[in-house]
Amino acid sequence: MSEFLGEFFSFAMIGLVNGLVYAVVALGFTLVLGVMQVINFTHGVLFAFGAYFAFTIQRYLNLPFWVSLIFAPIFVGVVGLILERVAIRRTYGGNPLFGLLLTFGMAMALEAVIRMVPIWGKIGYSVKAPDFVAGSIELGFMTYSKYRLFLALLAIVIILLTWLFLEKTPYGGIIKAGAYDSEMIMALGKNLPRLRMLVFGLGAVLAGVAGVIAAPIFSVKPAMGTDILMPAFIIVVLGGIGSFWGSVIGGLIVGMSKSMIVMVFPRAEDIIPYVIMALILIFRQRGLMGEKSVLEA
Amino acid sequence: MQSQQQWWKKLTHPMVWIFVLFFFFPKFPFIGKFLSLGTEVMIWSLFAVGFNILLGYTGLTSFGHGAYFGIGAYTAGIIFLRVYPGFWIPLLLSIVGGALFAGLVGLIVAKKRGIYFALLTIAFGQVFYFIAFRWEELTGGETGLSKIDRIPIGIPGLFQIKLSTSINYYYFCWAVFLIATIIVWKIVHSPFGKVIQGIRENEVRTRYLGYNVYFYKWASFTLSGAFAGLAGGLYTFLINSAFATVLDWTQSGNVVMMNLLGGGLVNFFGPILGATIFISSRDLLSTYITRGSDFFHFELDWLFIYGLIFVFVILFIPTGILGLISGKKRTVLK
Amino acid sequence: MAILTTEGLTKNFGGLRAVDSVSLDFEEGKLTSVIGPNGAGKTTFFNLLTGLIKPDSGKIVFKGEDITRLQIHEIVRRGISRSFQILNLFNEMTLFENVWLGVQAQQGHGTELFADSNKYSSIREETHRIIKETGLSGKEDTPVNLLSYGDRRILEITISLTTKPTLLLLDEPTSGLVSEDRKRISEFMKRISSRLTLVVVEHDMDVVMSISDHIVVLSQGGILAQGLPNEIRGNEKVQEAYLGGQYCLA
Repeated sequence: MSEFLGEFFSFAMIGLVNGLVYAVVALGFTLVLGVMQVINFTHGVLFAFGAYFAFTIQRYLNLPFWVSLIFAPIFVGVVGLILERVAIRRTYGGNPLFGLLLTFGMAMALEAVIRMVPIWGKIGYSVKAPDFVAGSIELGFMTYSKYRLFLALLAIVIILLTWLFLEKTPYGGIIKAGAYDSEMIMALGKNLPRLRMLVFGLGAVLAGVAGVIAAPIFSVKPAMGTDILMPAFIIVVLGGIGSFWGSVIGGLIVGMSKSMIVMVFPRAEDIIPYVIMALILIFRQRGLMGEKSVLEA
Repeated sequence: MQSQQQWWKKLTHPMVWIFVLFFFFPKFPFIGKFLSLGTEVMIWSLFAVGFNILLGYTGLTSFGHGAYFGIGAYTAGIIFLRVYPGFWIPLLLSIVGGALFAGLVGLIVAKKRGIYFALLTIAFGQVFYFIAFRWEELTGGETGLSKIDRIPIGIPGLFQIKLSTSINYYYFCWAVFLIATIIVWKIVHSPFGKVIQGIRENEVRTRYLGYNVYFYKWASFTLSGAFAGLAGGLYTFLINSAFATVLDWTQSGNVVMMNLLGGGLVNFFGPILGATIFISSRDLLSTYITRGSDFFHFELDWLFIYGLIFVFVILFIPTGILGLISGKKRTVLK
Repeated sequence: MAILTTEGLTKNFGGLRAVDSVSLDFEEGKLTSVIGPNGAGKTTFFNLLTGLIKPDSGKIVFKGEDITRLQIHEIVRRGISRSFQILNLFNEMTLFENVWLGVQAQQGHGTELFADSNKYSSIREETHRIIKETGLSGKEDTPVNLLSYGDRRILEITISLTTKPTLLLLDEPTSGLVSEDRKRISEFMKRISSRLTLVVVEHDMDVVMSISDHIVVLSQGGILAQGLPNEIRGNEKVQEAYLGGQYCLA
């Protein structure tokens, strides 16, 4: 019995931790989607960049974990800003189809870039957890990886910091409002281009930092961006476009459902998030916490 | 004289010379021997033209139509291998398969607007992809299905055509492509076609004219799914196998790209041009890139070029090549 | 005889009460103007009547039938039509095509998949006839976004007439027009009012006074006053609502 319980909790914990990573990714995605009405396909590859930057800093520069934790997201943020400035900016106000396709093409090219960078290449890598949280910890009825616990903690801190930013800072407040109704921002007359850059940059940073912390537990390979994109879509739709808590709760739902289903019907692991999303959409048309937004025009 | 003018106009109508070109393609020097490629171009053109009913004419962007291509492909394969090793029946059922699943998904997505529509089409596409990938008993999983042969067709006792040769299958696909394109032409020039264009231009006003817009969107979605299924079935018989990769959302992105590149938003024949360029250059580019890579000792990834082209088209020639040539903005498709 | 009745029609947007328990009768065959300051809820009212948005409470009854929960196209098919305050045309299409689409619907077509739409002479003839009646002949093949604003305003109303409604709602039909064009539209409305019931939202008081059989004044979502033009003209509350006589009713 206690073996089953141990296994159950083990899966549950994995689901929780994965869910927290998904939540951070989804958060960045939903903010960009809500405020700028852009389905940002590059979000996944930015996540991958986060992981690859972290990997490079640790393995090639031999710097400690916290360095990559600080700098990798910054690099990713810069990449995001460049993308926004150079390309994405041109699609505002037009047919949203174009923004979608643009980011689709960019994501494809960027993922190819990962494959082409000599020190990165096409094969997967495993990133070691930093030494101070290497190994596992006894939790009574089960042993658990210390890093995963640390990761969960980091993710929670990141989510809280983001929440603080949105709630307590003026720019954050505008973004928060704009995520639901971007017309409101225009009415407020704030500097729209700068705001958009900020949002996109924030989204990129969130993707990047998620990539850094997830690197030790997901395998670092070029396709990791595409792999995380679908869950991000699902979470955002399921939780409600533009909703902060919708993304967090949605992330946990997706993470948990994927790992729990592995216990009973492993083949459905990829599909279960879609099923849950479909069910939620049937009963709550705009997702768990979504509200009617300009996006539906 | 008027009738002579009309006659000339009919003769030089793109519908005529495009199919004449494709008819004589196998006779072209150098490139004429790439029959398999030529067949693939026609198959994807068929897919793209049918898809344009939804994208260019109704104005709805589905990013998951690769799924119906794939369902058509698997239907043909599964029927051939498990139910009836014929030709017509698997092929006809591939149309049914594509239409059926597009119809089911369409019931749900036709009610949705804007971004929710796009995201849901992606989501459903992915569901079908994963089902194809994981339901090994049905679809062969990662390895897919194989040994799907093209058996001879004909009327017993009268004549028989061996489809197993590349040249014969090329002309068979040519005929199907021609018929399918004519059907799509008729559809978009019918009263139905007028309504879906109205929906594209102004959905609310179209409702206010008394049209049940939900029905028309659903019908458009389903019809394009039927053509996707047909293309999938033809493709399965072309490569004698069926794989899950065709259902992936990146493939769905390909067909959108083809339509845009060729100018499907402004011209009926845009998708054909787009598909032709896309499929031909995919093969050409990979060959040259590999050669270039060997030369420069640097592995240039084909998808990198492809992604850049994608971006370039979106940013600078969104109305596609035909749009560029005709100087049209986004306009009513003729 | 009331062709259209609303009972306690209410709509809220967040905290804002856009339409506040409006109960109205619209007499068949008459031309009723709905006036009121900006933000009074007039367009929202039209949106509710035609099914574009659903009320939070209340009922809409058209020719004895409860149409509150019906969809737009179902309401239109029952004989209500409407024009828009902000031009709502098929911009990239020609004038001909803009009118065609409505005529096609009215004649019961749209689901034919394989017929050549050019062969429908009855639709073509009716479309030409309508265009002639509105005085826009000769411009059939012009893309609508190249027409003058005045012509587009006329087209806006024309499209709403293609469905051959018995009740027509016109939302600020003279909006942005110069006085000549206003008169044109005014005359046009008088002409068609003999054939159907009209409800017009208007800001131009000259137009309102010259064409209306009945006037309803909305303010802040509710009915401030209603009655004959003369009654409304002298009504102090109405004058106040228009911010101290900004709109001169005298």
